[in-house]
Amino acid sequence: MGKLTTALVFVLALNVLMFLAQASTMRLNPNTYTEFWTNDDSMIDHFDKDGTLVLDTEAALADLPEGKNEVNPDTGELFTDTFTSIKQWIAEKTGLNYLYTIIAAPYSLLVMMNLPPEICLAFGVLWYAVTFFLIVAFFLGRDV
Amino acid sequence: MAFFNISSTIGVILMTGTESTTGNITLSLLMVLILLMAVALMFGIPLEYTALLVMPLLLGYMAYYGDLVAIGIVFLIYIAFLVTKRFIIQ
Repeated sequence: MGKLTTALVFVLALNVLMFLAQASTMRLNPNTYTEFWTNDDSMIDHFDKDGTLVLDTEAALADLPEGKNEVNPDTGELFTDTFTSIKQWIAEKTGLNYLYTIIAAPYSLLVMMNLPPEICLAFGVLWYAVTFFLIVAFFLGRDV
Repeated sequence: MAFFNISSTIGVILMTGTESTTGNITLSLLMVLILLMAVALMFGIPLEYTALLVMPLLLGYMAYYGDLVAIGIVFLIYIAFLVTKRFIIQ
């Protein structure tokens, strides 16, 4: 399993664990529990059907790319158009746009823990930079 | 105080530990943790597996003591590491 896949698995496991922990604390103590996790903009929310806690099995089709990119030979920007088209193709056809969501996931977790903003920024930058490097390495076909 | 299942083994340990040994429910949890780690070390069980026993206890504590939520989240991050390392990759 590559490093990028490991990062994805880690963030997914973290999301699921937080979700289950919040649900269990709510069930254990419905009156005065501490709310530390909301599904807003999380990966769980991404696959949740309108907040009904039902897995949206059609989301897989929606995540698959269907856009097309064109190189316009009339504008004189053939090289930049080609580069942009290739970048868009790799990002969309390989489903890489979905993986972009994992680079900011731990930062939102740290913010939810009410940690000082300096700590959130520091550890968020660490995760962001490393994961972004892995995504760039994935572009280049390196060991991910 | 008895927000855990006092008929279970760990519940009995917590209750009797609180009433007769430590006098504090959080200290009793610490005692249980140390006992679990000692047993795991004695029998050569990897220490990571004790986390799976501690997690439900800590969830109960998180539900009733808001101050323990931050520690609980750190623990959940550790569990996520374990899930990634042990259960999915292998």
